[in-house]
Amino acid sequence: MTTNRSRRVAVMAVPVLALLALAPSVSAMVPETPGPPFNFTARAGHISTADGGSLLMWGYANGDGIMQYPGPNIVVTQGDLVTVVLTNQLPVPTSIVFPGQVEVAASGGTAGLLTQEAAPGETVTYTFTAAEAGTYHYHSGTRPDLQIEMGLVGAIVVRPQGAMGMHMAYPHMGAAFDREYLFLFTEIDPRIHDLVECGQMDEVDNADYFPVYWFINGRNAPDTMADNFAPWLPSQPYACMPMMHPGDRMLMRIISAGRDLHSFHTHGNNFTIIARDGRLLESAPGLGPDLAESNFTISVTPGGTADAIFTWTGEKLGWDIYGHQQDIDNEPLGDFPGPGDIDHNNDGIFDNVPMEDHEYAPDHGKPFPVVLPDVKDLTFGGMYSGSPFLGAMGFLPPGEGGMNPHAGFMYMWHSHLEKEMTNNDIFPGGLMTMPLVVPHHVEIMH
Amino acid sequence: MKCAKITGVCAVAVAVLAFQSVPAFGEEYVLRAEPLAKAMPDGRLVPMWGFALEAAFGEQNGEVTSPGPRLTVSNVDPRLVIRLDNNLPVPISIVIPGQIAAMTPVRNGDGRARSFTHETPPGNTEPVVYTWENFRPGTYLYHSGTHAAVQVQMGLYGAAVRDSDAGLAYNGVGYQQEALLLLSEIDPDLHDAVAADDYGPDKGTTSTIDYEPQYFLINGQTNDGTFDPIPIAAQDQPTLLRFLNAGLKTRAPIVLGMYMDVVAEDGYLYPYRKKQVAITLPALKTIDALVVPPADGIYPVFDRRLGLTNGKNAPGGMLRHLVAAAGAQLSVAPESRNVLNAVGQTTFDVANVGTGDMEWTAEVMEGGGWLSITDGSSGTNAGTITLQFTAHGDYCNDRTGTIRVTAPGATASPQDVTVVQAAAPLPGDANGDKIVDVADLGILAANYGTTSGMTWADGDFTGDEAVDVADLGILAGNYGQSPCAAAGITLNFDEAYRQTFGTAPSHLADDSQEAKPAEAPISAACGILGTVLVALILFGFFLLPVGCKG
Amino acid sequence: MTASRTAMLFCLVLIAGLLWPLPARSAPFLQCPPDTDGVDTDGDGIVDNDHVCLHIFAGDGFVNMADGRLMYMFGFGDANGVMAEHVMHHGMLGAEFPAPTISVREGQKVYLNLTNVGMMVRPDLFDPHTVHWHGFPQAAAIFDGVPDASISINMGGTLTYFYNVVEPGTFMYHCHVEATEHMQMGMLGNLYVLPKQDLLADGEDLNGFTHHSGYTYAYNDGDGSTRYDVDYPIQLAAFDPDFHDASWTVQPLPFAMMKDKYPMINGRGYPDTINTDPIANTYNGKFSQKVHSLIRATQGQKILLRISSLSTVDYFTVTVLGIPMKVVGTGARLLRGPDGKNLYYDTTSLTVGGGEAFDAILDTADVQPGTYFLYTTNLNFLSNNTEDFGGMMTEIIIE
Repeated sequence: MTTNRSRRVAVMAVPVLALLALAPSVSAMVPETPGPPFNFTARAGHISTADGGSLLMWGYANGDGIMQYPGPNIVVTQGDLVTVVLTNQLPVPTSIVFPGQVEVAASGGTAGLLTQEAAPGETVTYTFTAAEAGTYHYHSGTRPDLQIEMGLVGAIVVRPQGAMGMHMAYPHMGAAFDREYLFLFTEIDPRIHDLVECGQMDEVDNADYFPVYWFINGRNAPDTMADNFAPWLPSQPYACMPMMHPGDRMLMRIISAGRDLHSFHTHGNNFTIIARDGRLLESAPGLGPDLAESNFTISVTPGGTADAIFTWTGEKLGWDIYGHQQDIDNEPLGDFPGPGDIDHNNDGIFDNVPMEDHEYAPDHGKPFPVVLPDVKDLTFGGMYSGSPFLGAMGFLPPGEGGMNPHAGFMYMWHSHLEKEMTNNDIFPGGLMTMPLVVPHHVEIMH
Repeated sequence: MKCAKITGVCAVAVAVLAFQSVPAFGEEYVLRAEPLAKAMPDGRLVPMWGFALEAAFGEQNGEVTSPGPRLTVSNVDPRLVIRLDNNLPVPISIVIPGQIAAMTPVRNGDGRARSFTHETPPGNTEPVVYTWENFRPGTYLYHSGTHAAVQVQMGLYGAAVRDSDAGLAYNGVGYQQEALLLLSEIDPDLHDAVAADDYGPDKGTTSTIDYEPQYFLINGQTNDGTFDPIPIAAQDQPTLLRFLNAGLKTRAPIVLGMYMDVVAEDGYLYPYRKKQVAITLPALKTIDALVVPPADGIYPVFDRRLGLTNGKNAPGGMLRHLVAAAGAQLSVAPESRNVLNAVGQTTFDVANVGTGDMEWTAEVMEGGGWLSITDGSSGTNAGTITLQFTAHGDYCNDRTGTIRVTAPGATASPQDVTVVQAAAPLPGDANGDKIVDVADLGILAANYGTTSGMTWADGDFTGDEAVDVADLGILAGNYGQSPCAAAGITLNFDEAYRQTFGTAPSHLADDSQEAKPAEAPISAACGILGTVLVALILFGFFLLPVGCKG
Repeated sequence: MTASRTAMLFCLVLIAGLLWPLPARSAPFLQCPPDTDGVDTDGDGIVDNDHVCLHIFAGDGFVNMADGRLMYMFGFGDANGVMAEHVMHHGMLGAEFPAPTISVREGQKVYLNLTNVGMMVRPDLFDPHTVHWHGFPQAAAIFDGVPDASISINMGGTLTYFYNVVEPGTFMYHCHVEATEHMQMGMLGNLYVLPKQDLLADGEDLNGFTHHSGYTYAYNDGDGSTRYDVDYPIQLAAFDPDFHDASWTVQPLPFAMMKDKYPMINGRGYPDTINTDPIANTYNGKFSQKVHSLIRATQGQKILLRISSLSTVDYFTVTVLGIPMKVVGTGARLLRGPDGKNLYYDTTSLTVGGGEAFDAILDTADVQPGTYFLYTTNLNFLSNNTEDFGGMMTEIIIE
């Protein structure tokens, strides 16, 4: 209902801070944690949900810091000997398991059903060799039905050795990328967290599970689009705000860390799935992802991961997405034609405008195919630049737009079970983000 | 009458009766559907419906389980026949998704489909037969195809498996050992409603839309912190994991410590194998995966959809340990043999599914009076035990013998396997209910005169595939026999004959036609034949030129 | 009258004329430009018929569930051929569920005119609407239909979308304004694109397979391996009656409690799925459910199922008991590796989450004539809410 519109604009205002500046974020696209060895402390804390709520969580903290959701990213190189020392400051036993890793040794603690467990106050050390590059995850191996829900999950990225490690998901050209982003999916039933917080853990009914919050990298939309290490989300350091230029190969490292399947849909284009559960989709070792599949929606098994490459160039749309046929209102806006607007031969058409990077040549100069309706017949999105063209601003009524200062194209990437795009009865929210494609002249600072 | 000739015929008749045709076994299974109560670790008793494997229709000796018994189809003669005995209060059926069978759907009065295939009515006295010709290799889930939304959940499901060849699940998929993991769910409230007859229109529960399982099981067992380990092949050896989901929600089995090579779903081989840590296992799906443990030890397998509680209690639910064991590991297959009541022999295969060498011995623990090992009473690694058994003359009860195979130093040793010898079929008892009565006479009458393709269940008691005067004579002579009933039953053959054939039997004045008290019918064979001959002469059905003419 | 007074009068009239508000452009403004480029892009040999003009409206309406329950809903409806000035009236309370099926051919240029006819039952709502062609390759934000990143059309207005259709396959479309609400309320439809391979010359060789006129394929497979005889779109979705009632009665919408209570195929629960007539709703008698799901084929034919889901809450696993199924496409792409490796696979059931699409071919060559069933193995969804023997099931008749 549009009565929520004003609230929607307000909550969407938050990511403006990030988008306006495209400011350099403090760390890389996939923030790393110092190590190995990694020293994690399992402890309680709180997170903020985007509807203004707060939930008690159990999570992994790096060293003696505050707990974070999800846990600290473990980013290592293929072949590394990885040691994770877990100190338990929860009121219950806990542990860590590493699905996809082979021959994980655990020392200390007592034997649980899945691995060695640390009693409250105890320490257990896990060691394994990260033998294969890929995307993996870790989670509690004690009462996973309760402890994964409470937040004891995290991502593992194993990079191929050498220089290619920063630009290849796996040691093969078919897994090369220009940018990479983590997509760690979880969901939460707040009743469980309330019961734990009130000391009624035994009342938790796992069979009655009913989530009403959904997360990417530990945040609900629109917090997903804020920056990494946003100071007002101290327990939720990781963002999911992919940005790219046309033609970039964007690596999506998708981790299904909760218990539910989420059919994740990328507007804008199909992606190509090149690996699952940390193994290339290849018919024989060394051939690269020759079994890769293209899709527009992906379901990752709970406990599994997937690596997919997303690209976009806007090719074959049948019109020039840069609007080279049209007069473009350059900065300062709204004064067309101004001194910054060039029209070589005064016929309203730009001549000899060079092709952009990755522009589809046959569509160069083709006019926009329809007449857009009058402004009074339209509702404008906050992330609309006012112009249908990439890199162009256009007229917007006062108060509209403003969240797309570089006139990029934004696409909604989200769980297509639309209920999961809400925050506890409030739309919009949940498992959603708005990746941004900006023209080549706009620098992406991470 | 020249009784010499009759005596000759009598001798033949005795011999014929000793080799009477009975329902076949092997790839033919008799399943009895029956209620059962399953106790959950939190104490809740859940009413369920399950299947028992019987040696013959009408018997009630097998243990009723849910999941039902595993059915194995031979790779030599890939045909599966199930004869269903329905002791539930509603009609049921059997379907096997992924296998082709002729299906005749049944509809409710309002035209909505109720069953995907033909039904077995409640309390059926005749077995209802379900046949699958050319059963494809792979792992399959059989389940009720009637009112599926309720009956599958109530527990009417089990696994049906066929290999492509010995040790080969599919072309190119060899394995040394296999483990079946049949996942299932229980919504106890729905079960209580069904068992209390409170499910249906205008009742407390009218549909299954609010299904919400509380219990989560693997192979019919939940876990309460303790559970039986699942042995798999040792280090570097391949084990085939057969996953089946009989629940109504998607599950996600995950294995820690090694990858699964997923080779097939629903019995269809993938074009390429998939290396996965966790598998999406949707409702009613089967998935086959190979695992090769990098070392001996424990590899946990659990549901990553976190069905890991028993109601509110934890730990519980779908969690097990796959145990790759060092050294020799004993395997004896199959677990049980069902054999006919006549003398014969059977075999068991012994193998070492671990590493190294394994010495073993076998001995008969129970049933030594009728069961004996004639070959293979000991061996090293692979071998075959051959057993001989005598004829079993009891009409009422199976008898079970137990053979113990011991391999000192090996895991999974010792193991007991059983030979279940069927009770003898009662001559004249076509429908297998251990009473010779008008129901059997009706069956015989319906098939009377057919000269080929007949079985015991059709009224052929002489084994010549025809239903003729010889069979009628046997039935008449045994009419009223109920050797297995608690109290004797008195039945009137004349009355039954009149109802069935529409005419009086010819021997009305012959007192010898009164129902005889229970006695070994074989010894009365001669008397039976003589009487029948008189009847036939009078009615002109003189088919057998058995001498004794004037 | 003096000259100055005349002049003043003239000025007043002029000013009045200039200030008089121009009449709002209230009649829908349809754009269907003619194809004058002289090029045949859709493969039929004719150069001036590549443009496809579609007109749909968006508004509200009613449908009846299979147990009879009346549901208020939002939806799209068919306005093709309706004169521009009649569309508002035509579309009033005329929404359809599912939305009209859109089927176009690879190479065509589609002008999809969307008119927002408003919500008659909810005069307090002034929701705009959009069309999101789910899966359109290389989409630009302006025609992608996400309101936050572009534009959406207000009541009374018409927005024309343009799609240069370059890829065959099975897609879907839905409104993306307040997606959780508008999709739950029913703004969902089937959309698929036919490949150019259908139009090859008779006798053309496809790597050993001989094409004949009239042969149809799911994709440009190059070898005939996706040939089918009959095709059916199968769209899965479900309604939550409490949500629809809350919308009807102007209550806060229960997003958090949303549950699938009426699972449906192509907008109907069993046995309405096998009713081949359009179904009228009991509120105003308009035919609001026009798509049935009864599948018919003769033995030996191949049936292409274009399976998609626009469910807002649950995954559904669907199966066909007794007829083998081969999956040849997913995500509107042929299941083939980058260097041509064949990834088709056989299965008994498909698990479909919201936004996923599959192309599956049923081969009836070895199947006995008779009636078969396409249904969900999430057997509890064989219900029309509290009514048994219903829900997500339809029938396949092989003759």
